Amino acid sequence: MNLVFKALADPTRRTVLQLLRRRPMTAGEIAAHFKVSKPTMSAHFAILREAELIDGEKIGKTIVYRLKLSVLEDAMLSFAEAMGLGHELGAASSQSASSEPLGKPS
Amino acid sequence: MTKPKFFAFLIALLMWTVGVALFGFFNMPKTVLPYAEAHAPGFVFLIADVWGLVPLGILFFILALTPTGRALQRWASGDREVPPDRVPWGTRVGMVATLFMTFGQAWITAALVLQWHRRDLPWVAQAMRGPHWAGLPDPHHLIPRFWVAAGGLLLAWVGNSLPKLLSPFRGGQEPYDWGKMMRTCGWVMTVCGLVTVACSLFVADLRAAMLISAAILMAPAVAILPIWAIYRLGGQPSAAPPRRL
Repeated sequence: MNLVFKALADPTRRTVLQLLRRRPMTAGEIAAHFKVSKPTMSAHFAILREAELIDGEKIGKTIVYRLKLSVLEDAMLSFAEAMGLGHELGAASSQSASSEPLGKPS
Repeated sequence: MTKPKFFAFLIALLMWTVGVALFGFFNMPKTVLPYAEAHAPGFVFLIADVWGLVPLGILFFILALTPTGRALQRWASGDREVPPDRVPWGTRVGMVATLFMTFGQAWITAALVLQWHRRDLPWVAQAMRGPHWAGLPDPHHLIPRFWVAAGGLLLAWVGNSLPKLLSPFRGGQEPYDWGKMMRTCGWVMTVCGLVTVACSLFVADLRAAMLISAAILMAPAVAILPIWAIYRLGGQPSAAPPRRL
């Protein structure tokens, strides 16, 4: 269950799950919706697969992902989305990262 | 599943059934006849339960394998056949159903045996099947309520896992949106199961609780048909590339 909580805590991973609600998609199709690097997306996919929230299958050179959410996980996803979990954390971390200059110890 | 494995499974199933039947038969004391006369309708129902489940399970299992069964599956899927390399998916469903029914039979047989020996094993009988059958008072009907609640929990559990089932069809060949249908059915079953649990625990009158629970337990069956019809007739096939098992 910890893996599921960890996977659902991140807004990017939740958006991936929302995208897969519509239909199964290839890794490239999903990555096109985000402005992040491919390795970062791969890490997100790995966490989602580890939590068994998605199912990925390699066909030729592409990987097709499908949603594999139980009802409870679906409800948790909706709850996390409604509460905006992770958004504040992301905003706070980006704010602190921008306000604190790198390389200067306090 | 290979043929030898399949026949080994069938033989094991039959041995299990015969074993349970013999166990029940040799544990049946002579006192059972007066009881049967006193509780005839309920007793007949239980016998039908005990001996009806296994043939039903085997029938279900065979239906998943035979041409007739596959024709039924094909019709339900809008004349699209499950690809041959995915037929094991159907047999898995049949196997799980058969196992459920066989274990159900074993459970009921054990309950009957305990009931027949209720004078020797009153506490076990009370714990397993309920004070009513063991001839002990149960003014609050706790045990029947427990069984209804257990049924509701089982329904909720099955409903919760339903959307995790992967489609047996290849992408692009699905006759309906498999994922959406499974999610909708899963939600209906889970909610019905949880409402049944709440109903069995909190409705004061036992008969009303049983009636409401039965109605709620029937709801998924009634709801799944229209959901299936909507997705079969109006759903768009999945646009995903094909996938292997």
